[in-house]
Amino acid sequence: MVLVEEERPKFEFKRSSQLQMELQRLRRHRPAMLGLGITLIILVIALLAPVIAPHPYDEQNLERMLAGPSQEYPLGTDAVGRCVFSRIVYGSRIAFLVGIVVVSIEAGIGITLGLFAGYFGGKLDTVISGITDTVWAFPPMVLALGIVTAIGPGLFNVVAAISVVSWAPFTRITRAKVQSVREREFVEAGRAIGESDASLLLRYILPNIVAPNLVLATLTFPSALLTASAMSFLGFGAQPPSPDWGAILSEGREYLRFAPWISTFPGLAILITVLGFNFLGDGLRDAFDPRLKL
Amino acid sequence: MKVLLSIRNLKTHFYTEEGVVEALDGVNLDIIYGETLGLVGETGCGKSVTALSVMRLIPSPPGKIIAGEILFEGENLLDKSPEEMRQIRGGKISMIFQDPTTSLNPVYTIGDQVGEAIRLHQLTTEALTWEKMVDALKLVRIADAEERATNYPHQFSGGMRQRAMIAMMLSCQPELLIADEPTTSLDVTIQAQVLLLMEELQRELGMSILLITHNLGVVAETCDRVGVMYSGNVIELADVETLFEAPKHPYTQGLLGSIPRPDRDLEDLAIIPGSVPSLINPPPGCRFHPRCPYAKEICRQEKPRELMVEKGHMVACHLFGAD
Repeated sequence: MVLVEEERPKFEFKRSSQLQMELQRLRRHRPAMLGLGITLIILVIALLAPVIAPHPYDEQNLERMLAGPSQEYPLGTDAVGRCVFSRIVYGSRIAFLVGIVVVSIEAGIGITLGLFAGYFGGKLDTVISGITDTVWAFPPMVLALGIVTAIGPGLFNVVAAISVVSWAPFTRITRAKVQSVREREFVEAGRAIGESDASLLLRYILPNIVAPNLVLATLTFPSALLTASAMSFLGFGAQPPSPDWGAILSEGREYLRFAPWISTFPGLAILITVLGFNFLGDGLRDAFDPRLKL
Repeated sequence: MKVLLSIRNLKTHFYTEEGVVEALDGVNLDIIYGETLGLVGETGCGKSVTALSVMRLIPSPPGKIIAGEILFEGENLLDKSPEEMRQIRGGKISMIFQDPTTSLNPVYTIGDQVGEAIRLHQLTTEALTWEKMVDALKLVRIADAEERATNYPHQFSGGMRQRAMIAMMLSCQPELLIADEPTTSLDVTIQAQVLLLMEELQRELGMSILLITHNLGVVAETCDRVGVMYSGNVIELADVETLFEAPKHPYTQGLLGSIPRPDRDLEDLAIIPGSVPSLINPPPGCRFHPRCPYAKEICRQEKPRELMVEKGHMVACHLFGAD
């Protein structure tokens, strides 16, 4: 047998990474594309809020309090004559900010701890897993309420409280995934060419645990939003005149019988946003699942 | 006959909850410059642990090298700092693994990964790294190396992946290549290709190879000398012809007798009774004695010394030496 480089017509090899294949699968996933569409529309609304909203979110028109939907006020006005539509539009900014900040902090804490626990194992793993399980055991809402009661209300405090109580899923997913990736031969091979621990962790293992964390992040976003809205609804979160969706909902509660538009529309906004992210997250999970070749 | 790597009385133990696993029980092995040394034996006899001990890649805990020395070019690897070991791994000693489907990182291109070894061990520019990487891929006969370097592992076949792996491990021209069952998970034609390639590269680059396998056919084809391992010891070592034609140790004889041959009836196939002993509380004396048809009283009590029965032929067995 002779191994020679034969003369033969050259093939064009398309550069196709795992990620590109996964994105292609995502593109064929209808609910995911719907979710992505919803998410992008809300993002655009948030970015262009001053252009879209007909009124500033805190402008009062005391002559038109509790007015129903009209040309001037598409979704009516609230008890102090503010445009509900404008407030919801501005509220999307708060929703996105809360979601992104909470998810970033949670993922940051969770993935870091999970990487260390999964890679180094031993006592460090026992300690980190113990803390994770303890945090997981608390109902996040109750713990977050406790923290906010202690440090005082306000959107910033709510964000901090939610982030601190619900990073545990990121740690668990990361730890489990690291434990399986760590045993793969390419990590051993990396060691065999003289890579350091830091390099193995960041360049060999980390890129291979991104997918499940991305799915989790997409699914954590809406739950963070829901928790934050609930806290605002209860009066612990965003304070007036902030146009937080939960806060608007709460303000309209008293007038539900004769001015239902105040509470209904921010509720719908929350529903649609959460739905959009959940669709997207589901689609990502399907696309990243190697057993499902769609 | 200059010795490149000399393993002396190496003992590697694993401390598990069930007890101490005495995986290596005083291994002695010399690898000479430019030779291919085969290491054969059943699953669990300590072949891979020997390789990982040389690389200092024994997972610890639970593993620990408790005694012995590993002299590489005269220096004891067991005295090296982790930093020095990282310089040696991939630079002077490289290792290729059994399963090419998992030994490449799925998220980087082949070129990135082969280049990584060069980046780690040589001071070069990115452009030069790329050139050397393409050369390495050409060396292992990957066609259109320039384009193929931008592919991801899943776009390579099993044989190509193993060749890419070899390219990665040879890119820094190591003195010693440890191949731990490099062809076990490949199909037969590809096995032959990869083995032939390793042989050719050895001639071109002049390195030594430690080939670990349980495939005696592969050994007969490629090795200069062969060591037979049983339960954490090298029990017989000789050049390939001697070992296959005149094996001394009863275990080696049994091992060779158990190869099915097309010219004989399957009923004549010899088997070694019993199975590999547990490495926790192994049998005293010669670890092979419970299965050995010639076992004597002394075999139950005393561990046999390594004996040179003729030049270059070592046997550790009580049947020899008394006379």
